[in-house]
Amino acid sequence: MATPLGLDALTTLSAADPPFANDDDRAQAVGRFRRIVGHFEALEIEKPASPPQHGDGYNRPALIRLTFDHARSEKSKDLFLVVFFQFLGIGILDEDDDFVDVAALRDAVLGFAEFLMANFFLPRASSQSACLSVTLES
Amino acid sequence: MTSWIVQAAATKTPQPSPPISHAQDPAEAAAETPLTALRTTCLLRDRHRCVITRAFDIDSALARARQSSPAVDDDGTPIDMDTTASLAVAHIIPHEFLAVMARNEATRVVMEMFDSGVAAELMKPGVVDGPGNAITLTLEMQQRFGQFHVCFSEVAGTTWRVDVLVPVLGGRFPVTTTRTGVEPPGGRLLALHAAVGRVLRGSGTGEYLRVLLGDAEGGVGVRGDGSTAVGELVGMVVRMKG
Repeated sequence: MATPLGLDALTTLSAADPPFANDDDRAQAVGRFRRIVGHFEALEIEKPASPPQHGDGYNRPALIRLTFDHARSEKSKDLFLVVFFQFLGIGILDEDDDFVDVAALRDAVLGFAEFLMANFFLPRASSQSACLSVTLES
Repeated sequence: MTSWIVQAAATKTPQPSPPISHAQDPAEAAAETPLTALRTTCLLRDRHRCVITRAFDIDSALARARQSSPAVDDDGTPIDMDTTASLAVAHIIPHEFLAVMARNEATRVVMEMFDSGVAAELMKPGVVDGPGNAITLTLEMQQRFGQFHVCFSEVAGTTWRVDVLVPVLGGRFPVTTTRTGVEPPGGRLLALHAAVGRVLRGSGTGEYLRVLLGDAEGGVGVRGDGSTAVGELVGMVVRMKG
């Protein structure tokens, strides 16, 4: 099933209240995030370059992890996590659901890196966001 | 016009002198006068010196040498003409990024993911082209800063350290500098620049973009005033990516 992630959703998220009831929930979400991205970053280290494990040119999992690591405040990191898990189409907490196979998230994770690239590091000149055309397979 | 990447490719904030004559867009033309004021304000604030190398502005040095001998700097100390350089007033957050944020909601969201509240701050009138978003640099340091080869890290209060993110600059760094003046360079914006630089460098993205834009720039060229036909450039990059 394809789940469109549109601007409306992101706009709502950006204005949302803190998404975590407490620090434990936040820590759980951070751990979940790191497990997922770490899985693909480890693959990138094992098999860099030729043929590219995660597309050409740059380390997509590292781009995601570093963007989170360098976010400047807790509020920023919270928003990052919400958008990340929304993009992947899975719950933000371990209890929300179980994804058995991390590898199945590959396309979504790499797509998130490209979302960051298309909208921030290399934003398009057009008036429409790249995320309008993003669909997630789940 | 757009973004970090174009800043990295063109590596130059458009300077008011010589006058920009190619502007077709009224909005672009209107932005030229504030740039002149911005340059004047920042040169005065930064005492006509590069905030990284401390090189004195060569144009000011020559003008002062015509009026008095020896020419003196803003503190009354004779200027060592061997350490002068052409200086530029560089944007910390690229001027073009404001237009991108205005058009692209997702860009604002990602900016919020980096630093919650900074997007609204940047979009206040006068901020992006104000002295809080500008620093005085030599042309060389303007390139290094624009390409994220150097960035600023806060030490304490107004004291900042200039760090290198690539090894090519060797033993010249780190150096310390201070944010001074009535409207000093914004610490939040310098920190955002550093964060973006560390992400780009750490993920290999900086090199990826450099290659992309290096190729694109070869086809587009940089205008005489140092700006780049960014609309064309981005179009080329999008086509290359597509």
